[in-house]
Amino acid sequence: MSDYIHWSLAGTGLSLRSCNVDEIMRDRPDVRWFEALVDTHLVDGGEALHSLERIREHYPVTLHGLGFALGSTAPLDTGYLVRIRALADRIDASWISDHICFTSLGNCFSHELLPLPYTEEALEHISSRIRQVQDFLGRRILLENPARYLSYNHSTLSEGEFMAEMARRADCYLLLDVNNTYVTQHNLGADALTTIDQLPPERVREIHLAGFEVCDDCLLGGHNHPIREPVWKLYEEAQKRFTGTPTLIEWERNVPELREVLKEVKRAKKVMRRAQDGHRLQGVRSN
Amino acid sequence: MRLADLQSALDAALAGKDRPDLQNLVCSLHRSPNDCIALYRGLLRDARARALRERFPACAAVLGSGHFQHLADLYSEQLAAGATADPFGVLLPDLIDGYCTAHPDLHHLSFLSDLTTLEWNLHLARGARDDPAIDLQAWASLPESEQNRMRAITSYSLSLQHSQWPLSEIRAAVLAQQPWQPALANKGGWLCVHRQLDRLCIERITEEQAMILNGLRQGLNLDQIGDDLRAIREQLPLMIARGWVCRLQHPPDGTPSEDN
Repeated sequence: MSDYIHWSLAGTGLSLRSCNVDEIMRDRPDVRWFEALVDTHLVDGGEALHSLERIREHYPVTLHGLGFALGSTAPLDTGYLVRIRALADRIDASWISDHICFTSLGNCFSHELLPLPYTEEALEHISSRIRQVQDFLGRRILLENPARYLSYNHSTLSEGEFMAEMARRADCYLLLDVNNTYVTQHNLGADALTTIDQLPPERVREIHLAGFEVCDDCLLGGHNHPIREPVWKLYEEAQKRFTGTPTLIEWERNVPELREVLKEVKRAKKVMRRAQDGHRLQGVRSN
Repeated sequence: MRLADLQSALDAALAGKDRPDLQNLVCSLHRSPNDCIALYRGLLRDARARALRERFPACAAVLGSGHFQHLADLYSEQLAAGATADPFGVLLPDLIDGYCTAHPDLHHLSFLSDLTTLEWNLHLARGARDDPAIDLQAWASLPESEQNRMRAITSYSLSLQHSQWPLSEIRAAVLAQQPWQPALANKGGWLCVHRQLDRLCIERITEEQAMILNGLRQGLNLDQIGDDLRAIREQLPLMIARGWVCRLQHPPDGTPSEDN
């Protein structure tokens, strides 16, 4: 089994889709790690699990959840957590992430993440639940900003402020989804750069890149299109602030040929390298 | 509004109920509160239909997108009314009968309920626990009378289904996007659904095989299953080779039989 991956070595990863497994095993593409969806792999056996284990023999694997429901006021699903812990142990997952949201009934199978109000009550609630989950899993988890299509008038904090304070109170890490930040900016007017600026760099441990979908006057998270230019631009800014932060290319539906996805991996790698070079240069100048 | 109240209000609104209290609370740059909620409702609706379609591809293809979407909506209504959400899809085989009965244009799809059950069995087999390797040597080393007292355990992935319809042939035709009507010329009967290694299998089995497998699944040992012990013993190697039987277990008391 390949090594457990450390944040600082992570580079650029790719979301794992079952349709790509054979090709990955055959060609062993230059991808630093693969991220697997928790819910598709919470099974007792069979192809999905075995494919993940095959991948894990050659690549580090991280787990990305949709059903922790950390913002929900319903009790935490401990059975679900037990299964996640077992899966993470089985494949020696490098890290586990989920979303800042609540989920509707039975929603971990339909993947629609409902937005929380950014209030003190929600902040305290989710921070406490993250602490419980982290205690149970015995590790810090990463929390991702979801794509948002509505906000609440009674919110008192911006998304960036909420995430930063949540990370501090819960002592968790953050996963910055640059595409979601852009989508939220378009839909709700929350300035994406301000959101990024408000995040504490030492807490941001992963970045997601994906493509959005245009739906009339609204943008949707989608993960079913190539990454769009404004998102690449925003990613460059994010890399300037969180230089070298592991970056994952995320595809959920309409997944193209692997070689097309790998082009996005390559481009993200270039952006990351440029930011790292800039960072070094800045260090040399200031010395 | 407190967090718990907000979440139940939004849940209710997503389920199609009128929640005027959200009107002053929800906002976005481009859409009215109602339109925002309608957007989430639509996404949730599509996502649930998509998740069900992945589990029931043949059922979805036979019904067509309109009916399948309505069925998925019916499923969501059941969830909102408190039906079990886990595992997702478990309710569909029960829902389909009533749905087809309520729609005269679907009355000719009498096989659909059984086909949906078959797809659910396949879904369960796909993620079932892996079977251990069978220890045949230990079994072969026992005297015959002891062998007969052994319990043969079926695969974790195995399920049996009887239908008057040729479900396997219908499903194959539907998934190959061929007309399913010619498949109806085949006969129905017993099917054994299981996973051998990672390959999903639907195998037609005989009445006798079904009787033996049903007995084994009830926890009976070989000499409790039927009168014709010899016939049962003859079937066993095939059942092991096919992966239907995956373990042989000593009887609970572990005592040797009288004639040993």
